[in-house]
Amino acid sequence: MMFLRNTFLFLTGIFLLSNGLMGQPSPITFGVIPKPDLEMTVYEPDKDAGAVVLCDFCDAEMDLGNNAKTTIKRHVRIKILKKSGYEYGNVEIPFSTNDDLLVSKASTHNIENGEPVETVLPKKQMIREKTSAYRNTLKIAFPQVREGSVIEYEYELVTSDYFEFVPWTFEFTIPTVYSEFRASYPAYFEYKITLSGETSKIKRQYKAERFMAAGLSGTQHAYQWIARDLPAFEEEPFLPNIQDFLTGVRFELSAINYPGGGSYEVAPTYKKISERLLEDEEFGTPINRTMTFNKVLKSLLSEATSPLKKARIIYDHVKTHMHWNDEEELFISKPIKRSYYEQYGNSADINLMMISMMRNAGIQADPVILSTRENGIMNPAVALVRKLNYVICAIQIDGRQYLLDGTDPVNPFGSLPLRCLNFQGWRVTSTGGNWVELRNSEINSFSKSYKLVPSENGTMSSEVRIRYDSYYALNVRKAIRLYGEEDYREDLVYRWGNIDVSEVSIQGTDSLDGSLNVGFKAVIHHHLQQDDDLIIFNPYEIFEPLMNPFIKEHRAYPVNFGCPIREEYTFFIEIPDDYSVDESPKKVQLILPDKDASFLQSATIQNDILVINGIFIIQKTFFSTEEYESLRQLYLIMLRKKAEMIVLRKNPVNS
Amino acid sequence: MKKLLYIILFTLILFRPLSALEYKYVYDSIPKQLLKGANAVIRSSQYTYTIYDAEKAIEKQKLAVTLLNELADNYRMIIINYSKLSRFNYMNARVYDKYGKIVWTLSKTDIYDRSAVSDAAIYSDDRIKAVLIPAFQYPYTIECEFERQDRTSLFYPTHYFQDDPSVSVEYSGMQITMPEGYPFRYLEKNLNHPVDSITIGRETILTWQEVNLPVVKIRPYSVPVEMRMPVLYTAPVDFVLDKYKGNMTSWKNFGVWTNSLLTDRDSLSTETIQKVRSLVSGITDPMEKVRKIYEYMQSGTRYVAVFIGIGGWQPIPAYQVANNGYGECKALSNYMKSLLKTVGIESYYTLAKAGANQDIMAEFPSQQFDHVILCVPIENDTVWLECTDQDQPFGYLGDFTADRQVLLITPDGGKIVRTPTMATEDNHKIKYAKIEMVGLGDAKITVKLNYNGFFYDALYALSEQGEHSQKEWITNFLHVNDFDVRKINFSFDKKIVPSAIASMDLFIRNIAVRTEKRMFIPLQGFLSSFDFIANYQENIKVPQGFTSCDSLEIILPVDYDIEQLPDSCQYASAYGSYNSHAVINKRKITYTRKVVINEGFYPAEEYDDFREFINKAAANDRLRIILAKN
Repeated sequence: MMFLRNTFLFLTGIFLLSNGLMGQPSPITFGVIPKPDLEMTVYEPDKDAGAVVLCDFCDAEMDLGNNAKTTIKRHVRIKILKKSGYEYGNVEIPFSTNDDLLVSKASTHNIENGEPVETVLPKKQMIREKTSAYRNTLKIAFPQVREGSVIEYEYELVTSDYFEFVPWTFEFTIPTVYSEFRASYPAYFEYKITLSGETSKIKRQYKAERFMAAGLSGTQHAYQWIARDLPAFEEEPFLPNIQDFLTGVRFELSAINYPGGGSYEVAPTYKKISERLLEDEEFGTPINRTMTFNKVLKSLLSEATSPLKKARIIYDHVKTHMHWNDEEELFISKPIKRSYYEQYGNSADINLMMISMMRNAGIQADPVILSTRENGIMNPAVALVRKLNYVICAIQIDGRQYLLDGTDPVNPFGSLPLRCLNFQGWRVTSTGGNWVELRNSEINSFSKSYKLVPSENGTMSSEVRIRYDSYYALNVRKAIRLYGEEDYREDLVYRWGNIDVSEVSIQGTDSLDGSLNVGFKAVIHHHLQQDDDLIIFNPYEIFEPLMNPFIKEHRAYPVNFGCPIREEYTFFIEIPDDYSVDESPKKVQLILPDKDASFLQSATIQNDILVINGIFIIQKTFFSTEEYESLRQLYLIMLRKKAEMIVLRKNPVNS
Repeated sequence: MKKLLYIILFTLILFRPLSALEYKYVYDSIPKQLLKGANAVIRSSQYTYTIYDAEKAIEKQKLAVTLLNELADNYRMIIINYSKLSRFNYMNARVYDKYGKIVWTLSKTDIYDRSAVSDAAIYSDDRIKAVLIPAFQYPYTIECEFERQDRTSLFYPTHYFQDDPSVSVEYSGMQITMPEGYPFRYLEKNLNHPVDSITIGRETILTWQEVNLPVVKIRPYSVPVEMRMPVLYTAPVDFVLDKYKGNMTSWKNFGVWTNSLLTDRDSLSTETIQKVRSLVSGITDPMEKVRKIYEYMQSGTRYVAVFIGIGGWQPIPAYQVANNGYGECKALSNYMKSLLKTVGIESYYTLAKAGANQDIMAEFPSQQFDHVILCVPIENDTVWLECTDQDQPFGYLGDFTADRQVLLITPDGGKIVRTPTMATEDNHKIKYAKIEMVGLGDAKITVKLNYNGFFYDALYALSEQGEHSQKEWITNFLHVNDFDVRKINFSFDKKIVPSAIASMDLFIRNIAVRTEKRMFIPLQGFLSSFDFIANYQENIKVPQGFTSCDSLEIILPVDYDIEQLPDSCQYASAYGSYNSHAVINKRKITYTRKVVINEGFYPAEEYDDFREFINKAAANDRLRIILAKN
């Protein structure tokens, strides 16, 4: 990111101006608490809430007269309702060591003998902690916090970070009654503003004001956003990037228009970004120098003939030679030659090295820039280098594209780690580039088959064959690699308290491609329910509990599975002599529109063997909150069907 | 003489810096039995502690650990605490690959310095030096060395030769050097090798070493690892903390010293004194007075920890707690003690080692405590008070501090006593559920849970949670997937054996599994059930006995008759007892089941019997009521 830095030194030097434009007063006055707020005992819209944000007010103003620094004035008032809300009586205000924390006040308000009483926290009890070399924290433990207290605090902070103006979130883990954010900045700074979450609940006002300072004048953008009555947010399963869905306002600096004319685009288009990246010493230079690894590759590729063979050799070499240090990066941290020598590096060190090698071998290879799942979804409309945190390698062979990542030695060719499967990335080429769907053929897939022999003595013997594919195979291979095959076997032997496992076999550990097969024999105790006539059991529940991951009836945020899922179970149940099937699960076909997800089950009897086959497929990886209900219903019906019992009945004795 | 020579050689060889060797920590040289089940192997741990006098000691640790998988990644984060009492001198670190080649060396700029504040404290002036070592391909070895200088003798080291049961140990040594004749004490637990002692010149050197310790698996009903792994406790005779001098050879003396930290920390404003006095005016029963004042303390304070100076060891004055309305365990216990004193009730500040199933080594007086509670001796009826929890029932300690040895700080010094335990019959759960089957396998359900003793905390915690978390709890508790909560109420009786009641009205969809001819009603969720246990064949420890009584009333749907009911099941042994049976009355089935599990320790030879006892109960609880269409 070298190209951004220098410009700003110049810019901050220019604006030694002063300016008197200040925001309007806060909607609340410090120390004046309306009686109903003090007397409130329960927050009606959410009776469980331990505390409630009565008002969160922030005024952020960038002042050209003060070196384009931004002054943030914040005033927060919180009602404590229950003991479970006491934790909100301890407040931490983190700030950069470059920021100035100017004013701070904190008070607790209680009713004592029918009268409001304010307890002011003495200044010396607000602790400024030197948290680290880059960060300080102001710590406030409010005095006399009880059920019913109202606490409030105010502070003023001056910051010089103008890349990301002040990010604002309206929601908390407790409900919010009123939240207001005002932002004002000179029009010289162009920000792309993104609203996220429940945007319908945000009211916006805008005014173009004028500013004048030391001979310069111009437009000052003044925004106001207000949100009321927001519920508490809760984390939900299957959503790695909740920050993309919280109700809030974000600013991304897209350009700076200099007072004397001319401008610098910070976030132009992905095409423009591609051009810049290819010129960057920490990105483009290493991949353009294709001769760096000439010597190594000559000996590596001496036998290889086809481009695909060469690509596989390079891929295997990079991922086994290089050790990833767990850092997700878009730029290299050191020259790639040094990384190669040291054998470790960040994700860009490794993957840009791989591109350089592929190009040396005459394979068309390009970087694909992206944002990982936890980092948030890549915004197609806002091209911002600093919102991206990863780069992978895309190669084209015989008209086919393979996406490669060299950070994990267990990853097979043509498979990306789950963190990269985040919709789309941008392929950086000399002609600008294009969007690339971030997926090869990754899937969470297994197929489990069980031969079950129930017997009258109450036990059931079983032979189990499990085939893991794609990600599931990867995970098992990883586990075996980490703990060793012996420990993996032992874990299987002790996994179920009521099942004796023996003869564990594992196949497919010698290769990373293809499926991985696990088999074992089992004697199952305590599972059959029987009397003189009947043997009753459920096959699905022998080895795994039937769990519903979607307890909530309504979801506040979407479901993001990351990749498709396919889970298949087949049971071959030997009907004991003298018994016949009285009842068994039925054929089922549950299919969501467009085959987004489905559950198919069949049950047949062949030669005294009852065969039950159930296949569950998630084809679509992203379900909106509106689609959630049908997804949840599919799970519920499937669980109900899987819970059905098999009833075997003793044949009447023929005399 | 021969022995002396041997010891000198041993000592010098083991603690000689090994840097002269070219390749260290080669993976292939790890004994195979140490790799089994291990996430990492401690190749060498050398801990030296050099005592100069009561106010100066140098601690030096050198650790080499081979990481085998990502579960050992915590070793990549090296954290060294320091404070005004313990100065950080230096640290070094390196990484070796599996062949023993150096692949990374720590540079000063990799070390960062930050505040040591944890979840327990909002502020502390303790700090840490920390390094995050980059990840390499497993296996690789991290070697780290650091030095600290202690300015107090209160905390002589306690050394765990194996500090993590999932990490095996190739070599772990501890060496303490002190001036000849320096008074010093130690206690060995589960050590395989005794101490070697030697005096050279004017120094006495004590050396302990343990080798080839394999991993210890922790399983259900395992004997706690603390009771199995080798530990060395050390302690001074005379010690100093800041300007407070003490003697540690007896608990009495340690108590005298603790008292000196409390001196003049009990004054309160006249306003507070008057408030407390008026609170108990007219009450004659001393127990009732204590209860009133305890409730007053609970309603006006919360737990907030701020540690400044020796604030980690000395409580802030009582009047300051009154002003702030908060404090940590020492401050709040001392505050409560001061409140009681204003009405003439004597109480004892009490040191404890907190946490489920924790205890101190009473035979070895030393600083083994991390919590403070208050003991109020009332004639015939001592009350124990936990002062950091605003919701704790009066006189109830919970498994955080009950049933263990604690140190009472009396005016005459320290005294070890035992906090009360709760009996198997006090820790009981009573569960009642009425299940009215409606429609096609749905049910209207009334559940009433009555949890007593240690089980109280679980229901109290549930009552504090939001709607969604409660629903999640019910999902796991009753094993149901799709239901509405129509009503949920809680009530609590905060007595010394506290009692909690939760009442719920639920509507559960498809609780029963339906087939063409039958309906299956699962009981497992309504019984406080067990997990099956596997065939581990090792010593067994049941830390806490309890009783669980469940009764269910099931009202059958009109179109179905009973086809199969679980048979009565009754058995008993030293481990406890199990009783279940069903009674049919027209269209109603009443199912009752009582389980008693006794506290106990059983040798591995009994494993099969114990397993059968548990698994039989688990199996019986998993039976279903089977109905057939009429």
